[in-house]
Amino acid sequence: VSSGALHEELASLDLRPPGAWGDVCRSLLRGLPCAHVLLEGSYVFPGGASHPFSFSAGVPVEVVTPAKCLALPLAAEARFSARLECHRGPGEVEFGAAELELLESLRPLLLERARADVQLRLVPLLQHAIEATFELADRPVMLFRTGDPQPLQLNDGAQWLWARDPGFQAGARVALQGGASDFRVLPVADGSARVVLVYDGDAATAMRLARATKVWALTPREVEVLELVTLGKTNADIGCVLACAPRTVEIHVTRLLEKARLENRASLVARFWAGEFS
Amino acid sequence: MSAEQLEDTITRLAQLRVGGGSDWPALMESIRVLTGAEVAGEYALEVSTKGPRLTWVRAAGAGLEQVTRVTQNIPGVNGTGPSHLAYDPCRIAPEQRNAVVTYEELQRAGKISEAGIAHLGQLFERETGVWLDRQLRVILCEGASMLGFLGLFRRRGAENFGRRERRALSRLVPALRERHQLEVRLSDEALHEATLDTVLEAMGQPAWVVDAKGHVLHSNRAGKSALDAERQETQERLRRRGSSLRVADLRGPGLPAYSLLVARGTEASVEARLRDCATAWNLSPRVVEVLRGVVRGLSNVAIARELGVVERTIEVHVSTLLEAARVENRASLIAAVYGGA
Repeated sequence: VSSGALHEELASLDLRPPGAWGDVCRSLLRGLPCAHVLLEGSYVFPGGASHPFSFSAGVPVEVVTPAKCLALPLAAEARFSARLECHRGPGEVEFGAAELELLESLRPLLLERARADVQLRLVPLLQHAIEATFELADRPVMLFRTGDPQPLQLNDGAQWLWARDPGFQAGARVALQGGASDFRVLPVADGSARVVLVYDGDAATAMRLARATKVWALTPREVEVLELVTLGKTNADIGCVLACAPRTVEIHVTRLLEKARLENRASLVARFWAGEFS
Repeated sequence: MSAEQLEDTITRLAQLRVGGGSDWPALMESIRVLTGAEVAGEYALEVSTKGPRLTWVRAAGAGLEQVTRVTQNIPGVNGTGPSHLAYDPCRIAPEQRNAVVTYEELQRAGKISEAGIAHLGQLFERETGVWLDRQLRVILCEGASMLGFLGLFRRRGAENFGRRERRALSRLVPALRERHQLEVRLSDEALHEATLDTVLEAMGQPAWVVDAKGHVLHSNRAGKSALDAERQETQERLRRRGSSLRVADLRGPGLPAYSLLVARGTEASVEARLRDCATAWNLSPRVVEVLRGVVRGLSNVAIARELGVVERTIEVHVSTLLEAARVENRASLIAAVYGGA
């Protein structure tokens, strides 16, 4: 394997985890060649948490002598630090200047890969954190791109109101154009022209109904019944409002209790108002 | 154009080096040759408060310099007049996502006018000396988001792009998309960090993103001031993850465990509401204790057991509460405590 071919091979390996570094080790094993290639180190993620890793190819050499060991320390912006070692066994010749030079020439490529690797791991985490924040927010939250009237991302409560309440949509548009409304406008600070809208109007009931619908997997009719039950309406009252027999309402309530895995109406109402859906 | 050339281009796309700017020109050139185009050009736009702005351009055929100038001057980009883009960069219409189309088709769909095509052709001529008014293009998308624009152009009077070229470009779309997605991911970290900070700010309560040891990575202002005011207590609280915190675990492939912790507002507010009710309804401390049980959804039997009295006593207290709240039943009483009735 020529130096050029090894460069090309390494460059063409897929970056995406998992297994990406294993492929790098295998390429080096064939390209140098040697008996064992080992990459050990750790990712250091924001907050200082470090996550050790170890990749290898080939068969470990029992006794490694300095002349049969090539080592390359790799560090990328304090986020990735590792040591690459290539070992030759008893039957193989010692490493020379050419191999050392080759390995050194691969450093930029390996560092580029390390940086990309860290980012490819971090971005999904950040995305996940954004989603979780949306989920746990106690009020409707939406993410927009500037100039785009359609939200990029909404939490359950915002989705609920967006789909049902034209006034909510209208208020959001007013806020996006800089007008006064019940929305707080929080621009994303990196100049990416994204904007977070937070609804500070009364949305407590909508948030709860949206959560309950999702967590308890309710049908639209069950949601209507739930809303009235939580206001303390009796089955007869609910039957009047929804134009159906009290007996039908009773069936819906029974189904609601089953889905929420609760014993009685009062605990359903209590859970709903406490916002505890599980 | 041969099938081998096409396959070769697809393979090379899949094997492009990350951030390997040097590999793109050759690749653009082979796409240009593959489709018999005079010019092949790619660009990406970023939508900002001042309208769409060009983030990068790469081209083959008419010299990179010139094509960059043309692209920068496309009406609708970089604040230059009404849009001639024939698409909405904020949100690509479903039928335009990753679809290979020609000027004629766009014209038939009312996306661009004859005058618009002429205007762009003129722009090309001014900068490159060639009037290009035959176009085959695709907007590479992830969902409604635009990853990039790839356009192939031929000069005025040349044969229009046919089925073969269209098929070739369509075959390239998946590999092109995948490549662009990867590049976007790699450049997205700053965007996601900033977005996360802003979204955290939207939370009503203090919120923190922490690692398994309780180190804080991100927090909103309320979360920061809690840390500033009582660092040790707050850190201890984040480590213990008691019931005063809501927890969402965050996991990414090959990542240590992180969590989103949000201070729970509900309990405080239930107590506040009970206090309000006690005052408004003039309740004795004993009755408030019964009410606390009721809003937790407990039955009379359960409340009696907790308070160490007989069930009948609780029944009497609940009647008092119903009267005080002027409601008919227990569910209405709970709703009334939360202000929902």
